[in-house]
Amino acid sequence: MDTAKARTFDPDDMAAIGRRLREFMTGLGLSGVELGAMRRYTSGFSWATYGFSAAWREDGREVRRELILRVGPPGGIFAPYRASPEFITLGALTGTDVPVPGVYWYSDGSVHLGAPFFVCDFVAGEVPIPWTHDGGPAFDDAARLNLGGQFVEALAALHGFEWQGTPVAGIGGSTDPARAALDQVDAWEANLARWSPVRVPILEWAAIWLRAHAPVAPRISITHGDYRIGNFLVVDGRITAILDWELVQLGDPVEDLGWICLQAWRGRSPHMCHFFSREELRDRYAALAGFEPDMAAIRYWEAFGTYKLAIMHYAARHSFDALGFNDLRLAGMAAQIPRMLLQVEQAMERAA
Amino acid sequence: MNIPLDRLIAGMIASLRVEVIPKITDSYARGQAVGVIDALNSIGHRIEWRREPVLAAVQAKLDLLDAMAEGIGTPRPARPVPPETLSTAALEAERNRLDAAICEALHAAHARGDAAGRAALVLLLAHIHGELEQEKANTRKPLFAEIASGSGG
Repeated sequence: MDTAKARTFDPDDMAAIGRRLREFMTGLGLSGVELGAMRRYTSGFSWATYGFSAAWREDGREVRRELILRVGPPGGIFAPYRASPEFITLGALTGTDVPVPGVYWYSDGSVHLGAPFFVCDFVAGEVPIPWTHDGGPAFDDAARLNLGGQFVEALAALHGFEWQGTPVAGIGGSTDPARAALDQVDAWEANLARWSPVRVPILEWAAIWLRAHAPVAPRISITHGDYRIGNFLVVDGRITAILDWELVQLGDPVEDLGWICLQAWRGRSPHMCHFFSREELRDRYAALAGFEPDMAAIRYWEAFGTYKLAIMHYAARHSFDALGFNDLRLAGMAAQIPRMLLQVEQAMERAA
Repeated sequence: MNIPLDRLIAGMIASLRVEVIPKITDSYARGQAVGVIDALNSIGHRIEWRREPVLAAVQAKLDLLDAMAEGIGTPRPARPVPPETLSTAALEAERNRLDAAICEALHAAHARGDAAGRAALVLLLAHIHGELEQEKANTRKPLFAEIASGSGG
């Protein structure tokens, strides 16, 4: 039985995390549970991520897996966390044309590990990142077209998933096409109020502008919320998994297209996420998705995405300054706030 | 907008102690890293963010809000004491107070929808843009590629 002390989540106490996860699995009725040592991954800013080997007996046979544990720490950048939206979505997408890791267990409560968590398959692969040493292209043309094609195919498949009547219908977000953009502005404005002790004029103007120009969604889809280079794995030229679904919800699918177009994901490359021009991205997506997104809507959502990313920088600042996280990457993000705010201004000008 | 300097320095020291120094295997390199902590401890009490840009920002915001009061009738900003007499911390608080007033002026100007409102918006957005450009000029380009890959230095 967990005690009050045991329910405290310490991201660095890997032995306790492994012990409690084993107790959780045993409590589910699995027998012979054996977990290898937890290895912490330090690449993310938000969820604490661990890799480990696991073995258990299920229906009389032994199962062995390499697994990933993701925990939403109480003091994390987007706390309080819920694991269920990501877990439910990944489960629903298993076996579709969206490459995702298989999922096993989750909890939205704190009774087991001291924080919400879920367990999924470890998927091998390299993660191409948007930032190159010289600011130039991340791929040669062959890799760009190959990976870019898969990147758009997976997005179209995600947006084409018929979520109605599935558990995904309960993950949250907007189901009213006329409210999808407005709800997002409301949500991120509320986030900014949580993370910034002061009012930020350019972001306040952006919220006014985004509300005044909000488009009606052409349909309601699962939106990933952080679909970009840096959030997928690649093995031998194949995208093996789309990662980092923590912002998944229902909403306007064009939001994900706008997010792909952010300046932050391309450096000096002319290609969105180092893949395609805006027009080619739109055309390739349209050919697969069955509808042609309006370019003005893509630019609107690019402006919204830049607004959202700027607010995430305030989250980083808040985590470092107010929550006591000493990760200097967060301080580095905070230092870039003026640059981000200028990008918000520029994105609104492009969309006007 | 900046992280307070004492918090930034405390974070740097904690990161060096917890994440960096235990993983340095060369004793000379480890000593140098401890020396960085020593230096940070020594200078931490003696430095603060530069005062002049904050003072200039406060003056510019007071002038802008005076213009808004004349143009669209928003409240004229209170001037309890001359800004020049304020400490850096007090100036930062004053800047934040005036930014909140600028936010109110943005809403008021947008809501009017007339020529005076549009003229006010032009002034407000020009002020915001100019301030951001100044702050960007004081910000180094990010080292995200090196940070993400753990290379460079």
